[in-house]
Amino acid sequence: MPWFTIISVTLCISLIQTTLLQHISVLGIQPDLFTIFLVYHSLNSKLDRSLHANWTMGIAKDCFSEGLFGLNTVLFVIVGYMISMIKDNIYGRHLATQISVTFIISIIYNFLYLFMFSISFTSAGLLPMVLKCPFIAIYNAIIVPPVFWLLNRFYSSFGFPSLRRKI
Amino acid sequence: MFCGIGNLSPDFGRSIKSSIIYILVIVSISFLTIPASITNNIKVTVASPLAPVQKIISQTSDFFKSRFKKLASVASNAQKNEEMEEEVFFLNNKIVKQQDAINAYKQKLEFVSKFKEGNYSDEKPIIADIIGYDVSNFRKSITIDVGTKQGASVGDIVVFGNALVGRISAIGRSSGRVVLVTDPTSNVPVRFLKSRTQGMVQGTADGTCIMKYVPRQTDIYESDKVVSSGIGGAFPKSLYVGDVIEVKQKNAKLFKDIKIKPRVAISRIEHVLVIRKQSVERISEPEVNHQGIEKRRPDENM
Repeated sequence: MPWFTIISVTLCISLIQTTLLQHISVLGIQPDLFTIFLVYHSLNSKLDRSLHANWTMGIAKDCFSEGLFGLNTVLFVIVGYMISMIKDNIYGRHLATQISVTFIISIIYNFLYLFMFSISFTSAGLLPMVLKCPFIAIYNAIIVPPVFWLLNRFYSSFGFPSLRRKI
Repeated sequence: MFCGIGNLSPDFGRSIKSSIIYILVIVSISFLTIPASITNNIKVTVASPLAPVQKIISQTSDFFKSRFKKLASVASNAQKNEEMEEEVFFLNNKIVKQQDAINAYKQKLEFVSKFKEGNYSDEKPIIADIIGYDVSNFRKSITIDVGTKQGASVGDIVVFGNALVGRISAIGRSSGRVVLVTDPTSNVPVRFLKSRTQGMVQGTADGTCIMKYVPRQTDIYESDKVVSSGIGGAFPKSLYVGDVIEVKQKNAKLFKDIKIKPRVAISRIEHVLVIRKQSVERISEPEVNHQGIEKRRPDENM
């Protein structure tokens, strides 16, 4: 059942990201649902389950994106593990924490991605892409409340095991 | 001194978790070593079953987007409110929906005929609908509903109204991925329309491009047009790439910093044309007979 949940959510997110989010892009920047899902799972589920989800999400992002295959997968596993390590020390159920973590993780993930990208394509102009990172993080942080609410509704209404941690 | 089963279990669980992490990281890193030709096939194979769903969602969203635009224009233009309300009412009818579809086909036909007018090639270009966009903010690619089934292949050029859009990088049976000129890894050999100075246009992932290797002594002005030079053979000659929007010259630099606005705004178009590689070669290289004399069309000397 968890795998079914993870794959179905991954497919939904992939479809939404590839088709609809282009329409709400601002200055060429669109929110990254994959990163938000990564934060959601890492904050709310157990380590092994979140790693599976992040790995699947990373592969999906690699499949629907141009570039080196496996790069997003590696980064999602590493970043997801980082969140899982700190989640016990932060109050992950509070909206402010979720927004802050998404903002910080978006910046870390994008910088790591650009670092790897700059190794692969040395001729590419990095500065405009680096300047985009804070804006992507802000956009991701802004849409955290509705996306987290929708994911919570999805998991609870379909009778899947709750992702909420027991305090 | 002695560890019981109760003491071992958490360690065992922890070691399983850490081994899962190691396995996932190792598997993920091993993906990085797979050659691009294989990974492109994997990507297309995974994306192909979703292509029909993507197409439906894209068409529906485009439909609603166009309707939303009309509604927005109603709000902005108070004088035409009544007329627009009527129009919106009629747009909801089935008949108008069919007319809309007919108009779309008509537009596509005009689009092809315009392209054919300007090119010597006898090859028929393939009309493709855009069904998906890249999920990464740093890469610029689109997914089109044309694949090997329709005769497209990797390396085919994608245009919109004689302006360059990009190049097919991966192809499946019924869908393909196009790397746009705005992608940071895209390099298009170009020249200025007036001064004929050559350079290389590279994407920046923010919707604009930069033009590299233009000598500092060259006179370049804003709104100068840039076209593909055809050098290298990857792209045909004389395709409109974009316009200069910013020119900077730093003291120590050998080359100018030129910013280009691409001719085609990808977010505003719904379909593109795929020109097959054979026809691209024919467009960029004039036919030469066995005596080395360039063949010309009869109307070309007029």
